[in-house]
Amino acid sequence: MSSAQSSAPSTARHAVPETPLLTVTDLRVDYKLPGWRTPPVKAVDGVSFTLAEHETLGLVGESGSGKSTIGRALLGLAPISGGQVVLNGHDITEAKAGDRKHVASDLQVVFQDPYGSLNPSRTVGKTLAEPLEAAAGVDTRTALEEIRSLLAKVRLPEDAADRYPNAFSGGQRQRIAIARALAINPKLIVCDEAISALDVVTQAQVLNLLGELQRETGVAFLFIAHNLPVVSYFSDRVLVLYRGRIMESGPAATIHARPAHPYSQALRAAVPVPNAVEQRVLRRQRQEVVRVTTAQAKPAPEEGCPFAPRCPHVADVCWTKRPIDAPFEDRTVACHVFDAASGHPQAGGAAALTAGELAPTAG
Amino acid sequence: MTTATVPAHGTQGVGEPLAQPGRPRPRGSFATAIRDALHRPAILIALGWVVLVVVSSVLAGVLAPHDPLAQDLDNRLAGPSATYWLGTDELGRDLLSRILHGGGVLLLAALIPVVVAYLLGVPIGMFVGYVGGRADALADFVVNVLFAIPALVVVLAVSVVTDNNLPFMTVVFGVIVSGGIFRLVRASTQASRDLLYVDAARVSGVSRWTILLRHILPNVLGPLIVQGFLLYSGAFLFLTSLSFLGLGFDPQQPSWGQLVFDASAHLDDDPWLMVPIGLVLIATVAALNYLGNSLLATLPTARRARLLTPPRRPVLPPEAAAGTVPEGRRTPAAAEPADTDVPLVVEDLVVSFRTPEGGWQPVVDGVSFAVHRGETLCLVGESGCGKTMTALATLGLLPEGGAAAGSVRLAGRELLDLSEREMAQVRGSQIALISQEPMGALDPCFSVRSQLGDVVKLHRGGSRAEVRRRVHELLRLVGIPNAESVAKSFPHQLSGGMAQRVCIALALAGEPSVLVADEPTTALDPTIQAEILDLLRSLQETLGLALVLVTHDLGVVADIGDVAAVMYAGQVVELAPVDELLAAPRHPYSQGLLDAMPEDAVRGVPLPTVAGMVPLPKDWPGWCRFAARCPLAVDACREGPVPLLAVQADRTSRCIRTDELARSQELATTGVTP
Repeated sequence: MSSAQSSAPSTARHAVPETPLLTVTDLRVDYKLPGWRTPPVKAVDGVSFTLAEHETLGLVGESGSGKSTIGRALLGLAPISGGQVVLNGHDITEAKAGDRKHVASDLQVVFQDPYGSLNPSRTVGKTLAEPLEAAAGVDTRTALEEIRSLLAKVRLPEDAADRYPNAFSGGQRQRIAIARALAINPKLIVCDEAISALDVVTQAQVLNLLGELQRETGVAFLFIAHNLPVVSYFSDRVLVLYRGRIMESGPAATIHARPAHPYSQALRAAVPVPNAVEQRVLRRQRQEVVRVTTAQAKPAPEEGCPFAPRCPHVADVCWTKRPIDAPFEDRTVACHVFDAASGHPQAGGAAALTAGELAPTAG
Repeated sequence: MTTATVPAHGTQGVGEPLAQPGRPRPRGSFATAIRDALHRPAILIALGWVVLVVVSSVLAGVLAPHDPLAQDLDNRLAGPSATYWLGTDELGRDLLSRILHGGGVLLLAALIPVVVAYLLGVPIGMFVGYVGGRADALADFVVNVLFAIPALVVVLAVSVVTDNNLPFMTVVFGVIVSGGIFRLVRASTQASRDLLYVDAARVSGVSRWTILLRHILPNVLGPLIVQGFLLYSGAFLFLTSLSFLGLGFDPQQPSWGQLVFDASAHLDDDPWLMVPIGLVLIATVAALNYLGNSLLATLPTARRARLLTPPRRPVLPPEAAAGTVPEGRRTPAAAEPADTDVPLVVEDLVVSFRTPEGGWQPVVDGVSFAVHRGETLCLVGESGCGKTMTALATLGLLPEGGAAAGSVRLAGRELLDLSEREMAQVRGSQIALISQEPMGALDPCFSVRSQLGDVVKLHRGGSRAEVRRRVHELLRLVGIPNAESVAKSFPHQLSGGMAQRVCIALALAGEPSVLVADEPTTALDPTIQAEILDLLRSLQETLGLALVLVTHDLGVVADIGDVAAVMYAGQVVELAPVDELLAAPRHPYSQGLLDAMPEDAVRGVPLPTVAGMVPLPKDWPGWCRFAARCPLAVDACREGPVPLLAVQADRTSRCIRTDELARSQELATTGVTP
């Protein structure tokens, strides 16, 4: 895997510039539930990260991990309850829909559902002209020129501009959505599960297209998905999220090859590989990296570690104290085992845990 | 006045949101709906009547044979005659002329409330529906107050205060009924506010009013036009009632309400007087209402009543039963029919759908496979390859318009020959389905216990206690430890993984020998998917189930599959044991699927992928259907249909270039990068 890392062209741009493109500090998104005594749901619970220009940052996690909510909060589509978002030197924490014109030229989005994200009653050309007219103030004639080159960029025929979305397949619609996101040359595109609804071949085609466009335009991606292999293939760095918190963050290749946090390990072992022999090994592994199935698990503690109910290395401290982001090799891991001062009986067993050699605790 | 009640207190009815835009409509469908409607004779008659009424009212001055005010005291209360076609009233005035002259003002004045209601209801409803919050709460409160106002009483009061000022009265009426329009628009706006393309426009910095006009108004427009018809006919009837009471209209001038009033005074001595005006009124209101309701029914969002299961299952005509290959059966029997170890045998299965031209378009074209006891067969391929249709055809659950031919034998019994009633007995007890969307497969109105209990009762019977015991047993069987509390819960209280477990329990309730799972884990998170796959495997081991699993994920195939049938464009292109298929695919399409997996891909290096798309059934070529996308295709591939060829003892492939493929794989594994 080490040879793979060094051959990846991404390593060259790992050097983080002085001012990152996007800085998110202690982001919180709470959703109020009906009933005046019900506590709000912490969809995003104190998440901080930075994203450099030209970089791809992967957010990976399952439903309820808050990965899409983070994306929506950055886009002004989810209410931010706390923290700060700075994009390209501007604080956009408070930027609501309506005064997003200046944000729009820097930040764009590709959604998961290529069927819902295009207005069925407008031609592709009109859909693509919208951001040009709204954010860049381009008149219709210039917009037409731009649209032609946009369609060429995403490998769609020119006459696609005059057709309606229902004339296109899911993969083609996703290309149109990508063209819309690219229209005003944003610095950052949020890909919110942009390839999750596509078949494996189409998924590969769209991933290749996104990679090409990044090389051409230098756009940065916030790449949100639930599939760890896909995210680690496409991203420079990865954040592993669980119940609104970052469990592990670091270089994509390392996290994919040797996940450190018990949750990352569970996630890694859960995605089946297309090789019957390897998969049999992985299947055995996935029974070792979780203590119980989700159906049997107790509810997660208010304080403490959200993965405690399913973790094979759980100790008393995991139920009561929130883990700090402990540095480990080239990443940070929010797990008491990785924090020598946490009071976890296995604290200091970080290397053994990562290697999969740490014995489970008694529970 | 037998037509309808005065809508004084009934204005709420006018304003009920009748059709909400659940799904975004494809463009032009409203115009299509109108065009369709015009082909129906009843609608044409209604429309013709409305046009006739409008035209004759406009041209009353020309058409009317007499002055509507001219009195002929010699011919008072006369019946129809050559001079007076419809007879005369108590002052000897011509009835026909009075009817022709009496509708115009009424029809015109009834437009005012509609316009007022739209001017108020549409912008306010769209705005507060979009922004929500306090503005929404306030507007909703005001509308609730409006609904509480008896329109007739207020308008009567207004007529007294304003000295019978008709325009003023109609405007007030319009304000009162605008609440209905407001409600409709607000509900439609709220439904379309969170559509993804609205989000995308917001992210692009499009201004609020542009979003409302461009992306939201089209979703509201259809129901709004329909509502306009109903509101207009309501307003028309209301004004007729006013003029009957002698309000709003000049008592000297004829008006339809006035005519009814005059006629009512002579019901005893001259009942004929009521007949022409009554018919005109009834016909006009009925025509307007009928037009509105018919438009509503033709809206694409309207639900039409439809037979849930056709009593007879559609049968493919013999000429279409062989799919695209006309020479009938092509593959030898995959297994002996009555072999108990092979519960499901599918042979030369063809699934076709009716085309608008009346022909049959195959989407599954001669598929054959057999599933052994305790074995999992995976149907693999991209969307549009026919894998789901194959699975549904084995269960007799094809969507409307589809029909199957060939042979599906369950424990030796031919399923395609069974009637729908016989098939219903087979489904559940011998072959069962697990669907992709667990939430969609559970009824949100009933608890898990009652849904599972129903199925248990159906298949096993027994007392309530026995049924309950069996329900808990089933829930524990699918790995739910706290069966008691889960049994009590309703589907919306379950997580996706838990719901899929309950669906599996439902499928197992009838103790089937074959389970068909249509992408059972696609909608689930990876860790839940792993749990469900483990569960299916352990169930298969303990119960000896034969499993047919539809998936597009070769990882899932590696995890649970024993045999895989790779499908492309309606055909099986490769059938092989999973281990061998994944280690060395013998069809270029299987190879392409495998290469596209990002599992071991390296960052920055493009993924090897198959260019192009799966062809639509109507574009299937007469030769190898993969040739257009195949890197190994040669001229020989385009000479004719490629049959399934035996590659090894237990493997077949629909490719004539398997040797070439094997050679390129060898090159790749020996380290020589292409």
